[in-house]
Amino acid sequence: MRRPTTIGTIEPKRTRAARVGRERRELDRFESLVVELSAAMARAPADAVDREIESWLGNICQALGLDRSAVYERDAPGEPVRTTHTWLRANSPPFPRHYDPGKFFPKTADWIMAGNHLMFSRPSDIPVELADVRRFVERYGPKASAAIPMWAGGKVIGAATFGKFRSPREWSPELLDHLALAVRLFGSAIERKQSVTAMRAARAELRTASRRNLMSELVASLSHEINQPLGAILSNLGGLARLLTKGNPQPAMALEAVNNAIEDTNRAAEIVRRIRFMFKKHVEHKTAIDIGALVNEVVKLTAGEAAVRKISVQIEVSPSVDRVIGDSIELQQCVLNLLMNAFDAIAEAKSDRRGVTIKVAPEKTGWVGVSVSDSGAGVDPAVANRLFEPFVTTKSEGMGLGLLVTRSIVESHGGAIWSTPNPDRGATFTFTLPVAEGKRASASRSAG
Amino acid sequence: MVDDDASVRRALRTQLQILGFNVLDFPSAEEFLASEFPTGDACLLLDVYMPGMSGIELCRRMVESGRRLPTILISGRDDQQTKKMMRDANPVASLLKPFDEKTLLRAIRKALPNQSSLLH
Ligand SMILES: Nc1ncnc2c1ncn2[C@@H]1O[C@H](COP(=O)(O)OP(=O)(O)OP(=O)(O)O)[C@@H](O)[C@H]1O
Ligand SMILES: [Mg+2]
Repeated sequence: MRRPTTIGTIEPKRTRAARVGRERRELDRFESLVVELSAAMARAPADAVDREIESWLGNICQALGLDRSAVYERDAPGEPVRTTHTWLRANSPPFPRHYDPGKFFPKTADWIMAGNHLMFSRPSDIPVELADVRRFVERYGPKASAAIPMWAGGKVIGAATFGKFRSPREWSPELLDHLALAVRLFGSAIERKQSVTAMRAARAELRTASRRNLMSELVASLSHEINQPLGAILSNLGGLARLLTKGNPQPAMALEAVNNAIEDTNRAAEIVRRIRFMFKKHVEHKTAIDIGALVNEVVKLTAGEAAVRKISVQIEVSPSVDRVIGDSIELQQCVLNLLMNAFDAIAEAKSDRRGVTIKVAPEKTGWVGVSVSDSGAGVDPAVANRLFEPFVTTKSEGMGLGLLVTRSIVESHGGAIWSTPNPDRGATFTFTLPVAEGKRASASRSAG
Repeated sequence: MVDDDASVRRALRTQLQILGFNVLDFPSAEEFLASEFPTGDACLLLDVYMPGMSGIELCRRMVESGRRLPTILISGRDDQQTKKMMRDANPVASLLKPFDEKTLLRAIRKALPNQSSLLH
């Protein structure tokens, strides 16, 4: 570490003692500030890291009587150095807010990014080898500054600078140690933020990919479903046209062809209507949701249906579930689809045990599971591995879309859905949802 | 004709009868196989996607057992995978639903070259 040389007049003994006392107190205060900073950085969720760093740059400047501080990041050697966070005291002389130090003083920037500290108590302290930064300082005017490389994961990922514009100031080695610690804390917070962001991007990509598959699968099945009645209509009308060109020798057959075509057209329209209902356009709006209350709501909505079918619905909500992040209308639809399937399964089984249990309980850390168990006949093996594909149904009135829609909603929330046979009878369908962000952070901290 | 969709069966039956054909129809490949194999100048209109045995599988079975019947495959799906499956089954013709009378007749003419004088 390069130690600043003190140039200037010798202070009288009494003044010197006073200054040392002042510095001592400043250092003690600063030390406890860095302890606080360390706790705040550990607590900050990834989304809040940038905001926290800017506010702590301000706190540091206030505590040390400085005027500007900034954090710079560089993605890789050879890449530009970006100003990512700044704090500037009000009424300070103009200073470029975002600039690439590599452009203004490449030599010094490289030198700092190589892991060296640079500090000066007055511009004349700047060593001659670093003439480029000296010119910059003379032009933009910090009277004193400390530039500290920012380490994270064994690499220099950027730097931080602390400057005073109004007057020179001394940097004691102890103070520099504390500053270096603060910068290291910034560095690890930034690194954590970056890894969370990268993970999120990867997850989002995976989700779009699976949704894209789902869409093309859906479009293929959809066209099949509509092409059936369209084909029938075309055949009936083709036959009719043929009869009419021959002078309609069989009016009964002509009438049958027309009636068939009408029925087929209605069928096509019905398919379109039901699909539209299933995928009703809805602007997604995700909030923190009490999923237990949502389940209660859906069960209340279907109480009439349950009574008619003589089915009792049990709800068990574990007291330790956190709120989840989701769109309440979409999640209601998920619970409703699973509940309706459970009702159908019980009706199908014609059993005398007519019960459905919905459980809401924590899954692995950060997730809540919602499961719907019925006492029906279980999943038909003929469709067991295609349950979530479009138009797979064993019901005469079914569209085979309920589970597909449910899966696509659950996946758009980042969760998963699966089914398991019950040990005694019937099936259980379970889906997972992520716990609301703030809660998740606290949950993992108390676990670790 | 083999198709699991009742309204498609009904419509094609009506249309083919109006065109002067004798039509036998089956809701599944299994039922077709269990029936007496048609003799004389006949062809098979065969749906690709059916629950249970698919049209493609039925083609393969017929080839294996040496029973031959000129086959026209019909499908409501036209994605790449379906088209490839249909090509590989090597039918006389492949039709994608919905198809019009002209297309249907062209396929039947290929399947029943001796009957071509019947159809215009
Ligand atoms: N709880 C269950 N028990 C047994 N089988 C089930 C259960 N839930 C779903 N299935 C099977 O999965 C199939 C697909 O379900 P899905 O909800 O996707 O469609 P559907 O209920 O048939 O029609 P709809 O589009 O009206 O929901 C059902 O037809 C049924 O065979
Ligand atoms: Mg359903």
